[in-house]
Parts: sequence; C-alpha cells; structure tokens
Amino acid sequence: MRRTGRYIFFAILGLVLLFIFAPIITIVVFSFNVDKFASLPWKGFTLAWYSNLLLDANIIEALKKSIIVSISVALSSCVLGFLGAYALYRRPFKLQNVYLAFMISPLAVPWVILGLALAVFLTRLDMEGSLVSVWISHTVFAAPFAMLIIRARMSGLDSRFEEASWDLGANRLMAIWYVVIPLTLPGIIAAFLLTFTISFDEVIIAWFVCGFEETLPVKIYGMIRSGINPTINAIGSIIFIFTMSAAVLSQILIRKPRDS
Amino acid sequence: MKIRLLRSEALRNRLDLMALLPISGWEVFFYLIPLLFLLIISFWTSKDYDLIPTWSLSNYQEVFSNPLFRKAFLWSVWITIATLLITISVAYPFAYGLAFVVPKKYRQVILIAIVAPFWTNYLVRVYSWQLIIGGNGIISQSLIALGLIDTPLQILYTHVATSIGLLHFLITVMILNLYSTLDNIDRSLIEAASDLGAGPFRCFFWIIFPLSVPGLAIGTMFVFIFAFTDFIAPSVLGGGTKPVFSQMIVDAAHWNANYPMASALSAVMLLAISAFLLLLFRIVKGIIKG
Repeated sequence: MRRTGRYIFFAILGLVLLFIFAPIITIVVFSFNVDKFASLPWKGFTLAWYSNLLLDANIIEALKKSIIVSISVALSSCVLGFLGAYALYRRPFKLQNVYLAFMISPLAVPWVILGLALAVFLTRLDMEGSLVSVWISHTVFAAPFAMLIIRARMSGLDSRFEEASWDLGANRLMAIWYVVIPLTLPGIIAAFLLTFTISFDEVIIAWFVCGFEETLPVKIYGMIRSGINPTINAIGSIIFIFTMSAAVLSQILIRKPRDS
Repeated sequence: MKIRLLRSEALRNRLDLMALLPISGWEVFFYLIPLLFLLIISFWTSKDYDLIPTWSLSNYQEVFSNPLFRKAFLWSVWITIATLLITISVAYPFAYGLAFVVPKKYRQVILIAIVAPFWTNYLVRVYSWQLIIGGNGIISQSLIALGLIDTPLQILYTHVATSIGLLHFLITVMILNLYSTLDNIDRSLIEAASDLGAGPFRCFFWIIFPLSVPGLAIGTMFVFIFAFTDFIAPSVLGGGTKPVFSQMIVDAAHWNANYPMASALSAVMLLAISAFLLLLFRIVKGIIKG
C-alpha cells in the first residue's frame, strides 16, 4: 500500500512538472527553429527570429514603454505600500481588518472589469490613452500588493530599534531612513520585483486604457491575434528567462530569515 | 512637561496615520469611484458611442433575455467547473505527497520548480499551448507520425483548449494553497489516530481532509474567480466561435463601444462571483462544524 502510493505520487509529480514546463520548453526550442510553423520534424537551427526581433523598431519601442511603466508602477507601489505598511505597523487601529479587506479587494476584482471601469473613468477625466493611465491603473492593484509584502516583513521588526534611535536624538524621518528602511529592505526589494513583474506581464487592463501607446504585452497580444509569427517565440523566450530570474530572486528575498 | 509630552504623542499618532493617506486616496479615487461609476452607467444607455444618463433597466433585461449572453454565461460556468474539478483532483494528491511523502530536503527544490514558471508572462504561456495542441502542433504531428490518428487534432479553438490554458496556471495556485495547509498539520494528531487503531483511510477522512479544508477553500475561491473571468485563455486558445462571458464584456466595450451594456454584464459577473463565494462559505462552514 505504502509503496504503490509512493509510485502514484511520483507519477503525478512527473506529469505535473512535465505539464508545467512543456509550454516553456516548447517555446524556447521553437524560437530557434528555421520553420515558420512550429511543427515537427525539426527543420534546422537559426537565430533569425531573434535578429528579427532586435530589428523590429515597434517591438523595441513597446519594450521601452513597458519598462518605463513597470518601473514607475514598482516605484510608486513601493512608496505608497511602505507608507501604508508603516502606518499600520506603528498605529494599529479599530476596524483595521475592514480597512485591509478593502485594500486587498482590488486583487480579487476581475481584471476585465477593473480595466473596463478604469477605461470609462479615465476617459471621463480625459486621461485615457497614455502611459500615465497604464501607470495609474497598474498601481491600483500593485500598491496594496506591495503593502502586504512590506507589512509581512515589518511585522518581524522590533519596534524598540526605532524607539532607541528617537532616544538617541533622531527625528521621525531620520529614524525611518536609517533604521526602518534598512531593516525592511528585503521586503521592499521583493515588493519592487514582484510588482514590476506583474505590471510588466499585465495585458488586459493595459489593453483597455493604453490607447495607441501599446506596452509589450499589448503588442504581443496584437501579434498573436494576427496569426502565427515565430518572432513571438523569441520574445517569449527572452521574457521567460527575464521574469523567471526576477521571480526566483524575490522568492529568495521573501524567504530569507530575519538578519536582525 | 507632561502635557507637552502628551500633545506630541497625539501629534505623532496623527502623523503616523497620515502615512496611510496616499495609498488610501489612490484606492478610493482610482478604484472605488471608477467601480461605482461603472455600476451607475450600467443603468444608462448608449447612443452613437455616447453615454446617455437615463435611468433604465434595459441593459439588464437584455443581459437576461438575450440567448447569446445566456449561452456565454453557461459556457463560462461549464469551463470553470471542469477546470476546478481537474485542478483539485490533480493538485490534492500532489500537495499531499509533497507534504507527507517527499523527504524534507527535496521539497524546497520541487516548490521552486513549480513556482518559477508561475510568475512568467501568462499571455506567452497561454500562446505557447497553441504550438503544442494546434493542428500542426507537436502532439498532433507526433500522433500522426506514429500512425495513431489520420487527421490533425481539433483541440485548438475549443473550450478544452481554454481549460488547458487555465489549468496550466491554476494547478500551481491550488498546489501552493493545499501544500501550505497540509504542511501545517500537526503530525502528532496523525500518530495519535493511528496509535488508537485508525487505518490510513480513516486517518485521511477524519483528520487530514478536514484540516486541509481552509487551504482547499481559498484555492477554490481563486480558481473559480480566475477561470470564470479570464479573458486571455478564451481569446487566445478558445477562439471566437463560442465566446465565454468575459469575451462578451470585451466585445460590448471594445468593439461595440457600448459601455453601459458592458457595465451591466460586469455587474452580473460580479453578482455571480459573490453568489458562488457565499455558497462556498456556507459549504466550508458546514464541513468545519460537522
């Protein structure tokens, strides 16, 4: 009984890992295939799709926009999230759970609906169709996310460190800058990387509000809709490697035990 | 002296809570108000791509009477339930094995292997399934080469394809949720039960399963909301012949510029999600109490 159970588990483990990695391996492998269609048998090795990609000014432009937006979203989310987490850390208040539930709710509202709501609202304000509107929209769900990550890290922080620095003559801002921020830095960096990644990947909200200022995922979505194009495989492979390293790095930072 | 100290204390309190203002302001102005506005315009109408503020229920009447919307809704429900059942039946044994069978030193490696792709671009991952399950894709071509089938597979641009794309993302979510609760179960409870003569099956049904319900519930919640509302998998893998509910919303808004209609559809979608969550909450409460 024990042994058969173990075999069944290892079979499931293997199948799930195969299922999870199949698309990633496929796209990387076929990004080097000569054939325009991703079909067997293998036609030969080429770097043509990668050079296509580098020569395509539209894609490079979209990539630039995506990086600008994602960095802005990550920065604003970390600032807003840090301030929020710090307030909750210093002064817990009544109804804090209600407040937190409200702050988490943007993560539960379907992105189609969030995108639609923001498109309608920003159009009313004449703010739609720009990178600023993508930045505003992404920060809506990224900031609470950053707040939760930073708050989790801060909860392990002994409040006496900060109080000691006040006694030694530091004012509030100095104490935050020299004591609180350094001690929560791993959480802040993890929040930065994760919000960057989510914003960099997000399609549907960006698609609703970006107008003609297409970010990279919106551009890729357009390419997919217009049919098979092996350049997508090359972009996909690069994005996979890029975001996977950012994600693994942030996982390590979150998991690392407290160094204080 | 004491009074001055108190005053600065009160000031400090206020300053601390001021740090909450920027993020709260952002969420109220760019999240709460837009959502409420969306709800309001679902009662308006649209004419020549313009919003007309007339209060009527016509959009809702249309949502409930138009067979196209009803079909899309049912297809969404159907895909969601199928995806949910498959997710649970694959993720549960996986998480169980990871928590109780795999030696501790390998768990971290397996977890990172599962989580790493989870953070990569969802759109590209969904797209790459086109290469695998398409008519000219790997599976189809291999099966033809092996002589098992004559004509290319017809999976791509069906609801099965949509479900595969969703599963690829959601199995990881479910595994992570289940693993974290299963791993937290106090092992001495299981030992106590087996010392008292409970076999492996009774151990599972009386101890392990009830204690894993919270993780299962949160995983189910996430899977339901995501599968029910995702637009990427249906539009990239499912195609446009049998659109699901989220595609209806995007069609109404983006292609027909009928925002009041899209808003009414969104409201119905949110209502359906709330109804499901309420039902789930009741079931979970019943299991935990019973």
